[in-house]
Amino acid sequence: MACGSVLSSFLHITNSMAIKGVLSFAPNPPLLLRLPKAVTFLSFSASTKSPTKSFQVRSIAGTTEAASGFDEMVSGTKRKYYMLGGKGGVGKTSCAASLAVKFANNGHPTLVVSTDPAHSLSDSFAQDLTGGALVPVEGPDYPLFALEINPEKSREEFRNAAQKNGGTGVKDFMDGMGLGMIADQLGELKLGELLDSPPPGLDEAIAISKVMQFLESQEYSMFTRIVFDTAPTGHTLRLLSLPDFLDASIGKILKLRQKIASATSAIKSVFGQEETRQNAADKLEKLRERMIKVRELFRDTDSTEFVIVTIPTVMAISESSRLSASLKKENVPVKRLIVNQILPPSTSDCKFCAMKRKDQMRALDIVQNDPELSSLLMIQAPLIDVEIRGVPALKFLGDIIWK
Amino acid sequence: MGDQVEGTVQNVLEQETLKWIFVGGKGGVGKTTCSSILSILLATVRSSVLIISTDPAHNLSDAFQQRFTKTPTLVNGFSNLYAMEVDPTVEHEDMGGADGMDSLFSELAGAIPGIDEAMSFAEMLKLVQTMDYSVIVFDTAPTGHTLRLLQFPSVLEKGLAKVMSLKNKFGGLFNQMTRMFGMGDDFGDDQILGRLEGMKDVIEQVNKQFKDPDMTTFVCVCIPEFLSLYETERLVQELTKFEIDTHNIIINQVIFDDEDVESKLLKARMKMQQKYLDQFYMLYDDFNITKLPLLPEEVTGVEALKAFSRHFTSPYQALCSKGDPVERLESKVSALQRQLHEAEEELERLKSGN
Repeated sequence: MACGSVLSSFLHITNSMAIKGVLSFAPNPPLLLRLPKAVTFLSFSASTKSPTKSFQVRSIAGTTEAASGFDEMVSGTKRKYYMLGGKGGVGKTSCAASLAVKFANNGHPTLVVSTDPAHSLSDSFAQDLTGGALVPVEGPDYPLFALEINPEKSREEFRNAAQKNGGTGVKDFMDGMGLGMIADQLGELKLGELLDSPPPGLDEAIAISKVMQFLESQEYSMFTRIVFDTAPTGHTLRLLSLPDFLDASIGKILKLRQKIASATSAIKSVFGQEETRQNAADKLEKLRERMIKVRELFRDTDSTEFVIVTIPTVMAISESSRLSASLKKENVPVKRLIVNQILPPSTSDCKFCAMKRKDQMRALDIVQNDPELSSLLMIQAPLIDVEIRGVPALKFLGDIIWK
Repeated sequence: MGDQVEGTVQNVLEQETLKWIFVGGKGGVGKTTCSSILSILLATVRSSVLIISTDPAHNLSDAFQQRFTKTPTLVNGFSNLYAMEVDPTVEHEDMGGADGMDSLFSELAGAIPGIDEAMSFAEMLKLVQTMDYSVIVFDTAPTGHTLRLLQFPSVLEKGLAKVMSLKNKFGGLFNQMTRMFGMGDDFGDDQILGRLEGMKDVIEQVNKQFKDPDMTTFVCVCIPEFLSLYETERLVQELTKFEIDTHNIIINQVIFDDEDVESKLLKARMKMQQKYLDQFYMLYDDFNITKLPLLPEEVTGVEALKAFSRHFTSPYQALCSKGDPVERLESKVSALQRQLHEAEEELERLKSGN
């Protein structure tokens, strides 16, 4: 109960600061916000962190325990990956963007990636991040880059890999028999059209794989924190089983190719051709290897963590419980659960808010008693009365959630 | 569909020719609640209703507070409403043993990633067709997944045409070579192709029905926020490309200017929502837009769904906008009685020492 009352008190302060905090980001902050800075300065002198350009504005500093264990998240310079996922519409993008801003403001060159075709990262940062390339975000103290993966390009890559292999196999076969004309007709079938819509989860897998390739290059080796804004629960569940799925399909294609190759050899020996055909590197095989790397990344407890984001409703909590169970079964490390959009206690006697908050508390009780979710570190994020857009607002939100 | 653009889904209930109704939108906007209530309302005017959840993160069981599986189950309290949760994924059965060249086309077809999923969906549609439900409601996954699902019939139809064409062109040649080199006698062993051919007629029929506005419609669910508006626009454009009818939008979680809404927080959110509500009405002036209020309590269970369903057929009226003081006082009395009842229950629990 003491912890609950502390949280209630915290949320109460947050409510009163919500409007002031956001409105005062552009002009000079009022005296109310200067005091927390002083407190931060004191805590800074006690730590060994490298100096930053400005001090953090914290809603509460030094008076409560670190609620989300951000110190653990921010410590060390080894590269770490954070995947934020959960039910759709619960605020995953805001949580991911605010975490990225917080990392950047704490000295970590950070990359935040989204595969959401609705361009929600651009909305969160109030900056156009589309185009499928790394875009520097304006505002944070240390480098922060954002990347919105273009699903269409991912699809093309997948389509090319699958189509070329199949087409090449059949074409080789036909050429070996001197039936080049028929092979041309075969090309007109455009089997690649069948691959216009890859399975759910593949967008995310290719995006993560592409980011891993990025980071292997010298140019981007500086990033020490990577935050993924992942897809709604259904895609995540599919993403986890994607390697098995691709193994089945690619296995079939490779077997087919092997069969065609042996048939070609037999035919060539009959007709006396000695021509040997050099097969190009198998893109599908490489694609499968990349998917396996993504899968291994998800299960690396040292450098990867999956954070579940939800809202305090029974249905959302149920879905989060199922997601947590699936992640556990797949050995994906999960430590934290963010419950977003919690109504702060109100000084007025608004009947609607009172009933709503009671309903939300019931959902939070379910979290405490759920066998899957009760072992996670729960972080409560309040419902804000303005839209969280732009780096200053994200910084404000990040200081509430990640401490 | 008529001159009047009404603020309800009454038009969906009255269109007796409808067989397929899809309910979709951005994640977290209340699709499952809306599709559940829609199926309940349809059960009052149609002889038999089936609601299917195709979202891998199934919520239908939560909404009805009843466990559903991948076979239709009668919903408690109904005699003509059934529900099922399916995951359009086939467990990968290995088509082993087909070693002849005749299996070339089967393996070519089976090797296309995602075709297992499409075939599973097609088989489910075929099964549903034979069950002869009056109307089928789909509770779909978030937008991207839904668009993929809707493409299945077209994709399969294309794929079948191409594979058949390929077989017709080269089938005879392959047969000769097979016999020439003694590569087995598996001529009749094209398992996947056999299944594909068998489903061809069903797929063609369903594909035609999906593009028929008399038989199929898509209901978009959203909330009055930027990202949901953006996603709705994307969804409507894709549906137009697929030639699937859509003319109903349900805007959920709207904060109305009720007497109970007193805090500055909700007032501020109300103002923000109004901006996007205006944009919705501007963008979709020829759609039927139904506005549903944000409730203080979650809507789960059949009784709560039924109670909430009245907002689907009558536009919501904020309490303070009514001129009748008697109705206003009656609402207040009901609310107070409910609070009193809750307080009494709390008192009893405390007395019994639980």
